[in-house]
Amino acid sequence: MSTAARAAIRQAPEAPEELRARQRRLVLVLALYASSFILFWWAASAFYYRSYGGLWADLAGWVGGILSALVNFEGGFFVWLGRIVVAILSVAPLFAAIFFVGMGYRLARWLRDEHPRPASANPLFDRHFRGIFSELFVFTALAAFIWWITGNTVENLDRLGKPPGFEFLNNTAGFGINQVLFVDYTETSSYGKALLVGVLNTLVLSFTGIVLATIIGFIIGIMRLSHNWVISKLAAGYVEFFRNTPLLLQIFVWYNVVLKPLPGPRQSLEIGSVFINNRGVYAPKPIFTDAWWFVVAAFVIGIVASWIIARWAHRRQMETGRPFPVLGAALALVFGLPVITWLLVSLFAGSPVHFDYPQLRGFNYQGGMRIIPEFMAMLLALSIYTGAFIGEIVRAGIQAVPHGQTEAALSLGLTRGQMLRLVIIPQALRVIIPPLTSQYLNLTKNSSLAVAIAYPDLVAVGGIVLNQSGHELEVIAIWMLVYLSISLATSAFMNWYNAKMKLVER
Amino acid sequence: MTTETRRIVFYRDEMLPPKPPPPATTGVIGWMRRNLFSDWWNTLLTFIGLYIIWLIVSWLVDFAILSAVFTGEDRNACLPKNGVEVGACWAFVNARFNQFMDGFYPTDQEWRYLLLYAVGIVLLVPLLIPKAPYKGLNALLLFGAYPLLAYLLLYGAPSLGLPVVETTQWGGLLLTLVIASVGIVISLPLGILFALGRRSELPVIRFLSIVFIEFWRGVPLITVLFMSSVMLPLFLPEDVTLDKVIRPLVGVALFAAAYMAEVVRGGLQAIPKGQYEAAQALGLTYWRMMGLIILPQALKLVIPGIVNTFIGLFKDTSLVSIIGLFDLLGIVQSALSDPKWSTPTTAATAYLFLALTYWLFCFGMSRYSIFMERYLHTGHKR
Amino acid sequence: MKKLIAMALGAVVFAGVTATAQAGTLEDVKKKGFVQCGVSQGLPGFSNPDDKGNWTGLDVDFCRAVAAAVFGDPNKVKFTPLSAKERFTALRSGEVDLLARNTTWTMQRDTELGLNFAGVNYYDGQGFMVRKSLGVTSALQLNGAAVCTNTGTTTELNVADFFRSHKMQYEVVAFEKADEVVKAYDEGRCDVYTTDRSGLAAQRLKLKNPDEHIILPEIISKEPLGPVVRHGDDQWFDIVKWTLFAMVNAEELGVTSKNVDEMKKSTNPAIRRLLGVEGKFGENIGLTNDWAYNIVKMVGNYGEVYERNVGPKTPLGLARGLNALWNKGGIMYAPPIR
Ligand SMILES: N[C@@H](CCC(=O)N[C@@H](CS)C(=O)NCC(=O)O)C(=O)O
Repeated sequence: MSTAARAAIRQAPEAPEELRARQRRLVLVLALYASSFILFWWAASAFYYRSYGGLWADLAGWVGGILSALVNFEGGFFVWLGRIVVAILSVAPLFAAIFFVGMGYRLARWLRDEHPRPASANPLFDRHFRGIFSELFVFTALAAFIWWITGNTVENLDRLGKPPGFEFLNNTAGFGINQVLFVDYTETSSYGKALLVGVLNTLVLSFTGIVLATIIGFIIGIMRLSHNWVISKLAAGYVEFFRNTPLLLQIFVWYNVVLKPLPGPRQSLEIGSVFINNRGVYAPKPIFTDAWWFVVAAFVIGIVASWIIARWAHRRQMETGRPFPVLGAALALVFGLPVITWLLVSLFAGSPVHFDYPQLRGFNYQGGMRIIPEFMAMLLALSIYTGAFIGEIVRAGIQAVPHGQTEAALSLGLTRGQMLRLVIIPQALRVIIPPLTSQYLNLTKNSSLAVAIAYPDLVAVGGIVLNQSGHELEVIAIWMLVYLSISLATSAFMNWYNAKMKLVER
Repeated sequence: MTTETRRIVFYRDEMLPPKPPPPATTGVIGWMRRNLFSDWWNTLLTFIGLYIIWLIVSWLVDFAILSAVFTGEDRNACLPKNGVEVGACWAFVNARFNQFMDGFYPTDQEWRYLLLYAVGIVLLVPLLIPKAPYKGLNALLLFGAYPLLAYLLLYGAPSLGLPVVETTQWGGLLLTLVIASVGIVISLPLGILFALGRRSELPVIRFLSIVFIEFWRGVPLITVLFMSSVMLPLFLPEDVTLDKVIRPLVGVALFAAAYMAEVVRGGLQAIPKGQYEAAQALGLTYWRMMGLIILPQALKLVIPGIVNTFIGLFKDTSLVSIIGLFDLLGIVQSALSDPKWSTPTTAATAYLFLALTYWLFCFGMSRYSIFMERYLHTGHKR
Repeated sequence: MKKLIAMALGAVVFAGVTATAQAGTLEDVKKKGFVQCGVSQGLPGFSNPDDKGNWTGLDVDFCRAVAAAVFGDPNKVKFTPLSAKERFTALRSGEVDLLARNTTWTMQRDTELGLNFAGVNYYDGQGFMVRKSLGVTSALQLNGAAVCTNTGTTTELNVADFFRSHKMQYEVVAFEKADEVVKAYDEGRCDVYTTDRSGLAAQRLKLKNPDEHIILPEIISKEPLGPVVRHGDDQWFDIVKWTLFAMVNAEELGVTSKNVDEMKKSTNPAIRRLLGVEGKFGENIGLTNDWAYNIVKMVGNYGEVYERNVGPKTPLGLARGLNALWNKGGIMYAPPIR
């Protein structure tokens, strides 16, 4: 189009062809918008008809149930949660309505757009117009798809006579679990309680796994950077071997090849009062008297005091430049104080802690603390596998700090220790922590492989609940929800950390 | 006396020939001194390291070769001899080797997957070599024609004279490879779509892509597999049933797609903004811009990432054994419960075999990925 | 209307996948040409594959009997191995048409889980197996023992009840796959292996040294094992149910796979009705009138199937006991065909 023609359009916006073009656009927009809406409505009503007597009919009752549940919190966490999910589902049409209004608004804005449009411009080639309609289309298709799936599910469940809902979590579980921590669970507890035991077992396994994997990973990472050729190759071999075989295989090896052939309870290996056999590791269990609280209190006081000293020392160093051996003082406080208290308490009130020793009674050792072999196998496999990945991360992190930093730090007269602590490690950590966190997350997710060797984690216990109760949908939803919350919490931490690190960077 | 000495002046009119460096700093000895024995601590480490290596290697050689049993009909061959335990029971792996490779695939049809492997290698290798020509045609054959061929050969087509082999008969390494490759072939395009979606300017599409990606990345694969084997049938109309192998495939593909999307997104982010602007200035539409300008560059950048995702996927296929498929790990694990072969070392042997097999594949791929990384890196520098 | 919209929607969303109107299981089975039968992953005597993938066992023969009734061909059946945990989901989702997997008939399964039990093909009870070397002679001596069992079974619940009601301590180690349970027990992870007594007899064959283990005398539960179908298809339910009854009736009437052809000439009206010489019993459940003839001829009557798979002459060596006919001291009893 020539410049003259364009100028003409600008000067005469009401030219007849322009008017017609505008009408054409309006009709097109309305037609597309309406057809998308109709399609959407069709899908929605199809869903409505299909699930008649099923989900839809119950929705009103469920929404009422939420209100009562909010007031009267009876049925355990997940029951409550289920109601919230259902409530969200039931207002889905509302979200859809909001979406359509929003899209309408965007279209109206587009129509009113002041930019002069040549009369011959085809809106189908307009970027914004296409954008809006692809969104409408994707949304409608997705809604239809979700409704189709939900409709099928409701129909299938209906046919089997199984109304979905989380109420079953209050029913009696009836099965035993061989590792119960922090809560008391018996066969007469509810399914909900059993799942809670599973969640706790997952968390305990992940937490110990993370600690151990971090230790292994840092050792391997530092070995890998060693100037000693043998050591660095040894670490490289470790990494390449464990990274390149499936974790599940490693779990089986630890469980079936390393732990199961241990001797039976009557031929246990003995290390002091620790017994190791194919039923697990048994150790004396400390039992604390009330006087133990003094020791705990001393520990807490030690921590608080070190924190105060650290702040004071920091301020003084900023002002006067005189350093203070914070680390030593803190160690002395945090560990020394409780030990002294312990001794004092023992002197005056008798030992604040005594031990329950495991004893061979009947088939197995009774009493004491016990780590079941399934836990050991999972812990070893997870931390050794993840340790290989962390080792690589640590190596990359330290290598990412330019050598100039080392030289600069040394030329400033810092000692090697100071250089590491003040210059290298802080910078390396900034590179290390993001991938490290995602390794922690991976370890947590991988702990779900426990189901293969009967460690009662969330997935294994959930599997039993799923099977005994027949509520597949709900148990799978709980699995997903728990793991997603852990993941999202971790990403939230990551974002916070990254933001914090950026500030430091200047 | 003093004056005389002062008068005598010596000078050289040529340079001294360079002296050889002290013998202890060059060559093997020097290298060893620098890297192994620089001080007592280093020396100690060296000896500890060597000792550990010696322990591992000597155990391995003894177990896998020296005291191993290579032939035998049943467990009697591998039972302790005169009270002395034998090493690896390779006779067991030998007896079951066919099963480990293909599950229950009929013996007279084995040529079908062998042929498929051969064609696969012929198509794959040139694609992996950066300098080989006809990349486009090659990729088209591998991703377009090859899956079709694979379906015909593996599943069968009675009209072509290939009897049907039910998926329940597939197993072992064959199944592992099928799941991993189908996973990658489906997840790559899906991942690209979701990566584009996540970087799109359109809010709804971006939001949906983020939800999709973060959902699959936030849950463990095993729950995804349970979901696909338990819930997929519930999601579909009553009379549509999916094959037992297809169901986990859907789960694996979606799961891998989310990870792939993040890899591709990394590539998209690395493309300078100028490229986008230039493409738009040329008047290219979104899909042309992506298809012709951005994606070819971005995908090339992330080849190492894609290979790494594939390695992860390959290892993760072992999880399907938990939901009752007989992939390589699953079939070995189930063979272990055969009382005919139960000896103290059967399990260790089988796991060693598995570890070696998986390791060869994964290590090979990771080497390739490192090679590509270096190759692309230099390619990018001017 | 409901159906129509569902179909339309299905067609819109998934052009490829069309939802046809709901057909009965029998029609489906006839259309695909085989019965898809859910069985165990390998329990000798009940359902067990050999090296070549050929299945044998009591449950397997029941599946074959259904195939014989429907198609007149006992080989038109395909087997889906299922773990205890997977079995009900697989049945409910339509992956299998029929589940014959040593499954205990319980009220919850029959009602809440949406299943229908077609009868009992093996009356069983839960027992315990221990190493002889432990010197245990009664289950009441098991205080403090570690017990290996399968998840997703009645076993897992019964054992909890048993130890709780006898105020005994125990540790349960529950695996998903039966093979893992056996392996764990065999390698000493547990002192006790518990499951249905028939299952103990069968799994014992998988131990390294079967002779080193004994099965304790206590029977701690009732485990009526039987074939299962899903709710909502009465015709198919009838076929499965009467397949079982026909096998039991045949034994009671003395009709075996060897003499069935002669028996066709029998004057006994019960036999004549069973073999389809008289009446239209087969047609009334959607089959041919020689349905029961085919079952007996091609698979055998209940007694033959029992003897062949689990009876005293097999490695399992299980005496008939409760599973003898009602008039031979057992409780196996089938309603009459008339
Ligand atoms: N009767 C029990 C089933 C018991 C059960 O599953 N037993 C195991 C051990 S005997 C079994 O059959 N396993 C064979 C398999 O999983 O393939 C029930 O219905 O819950």
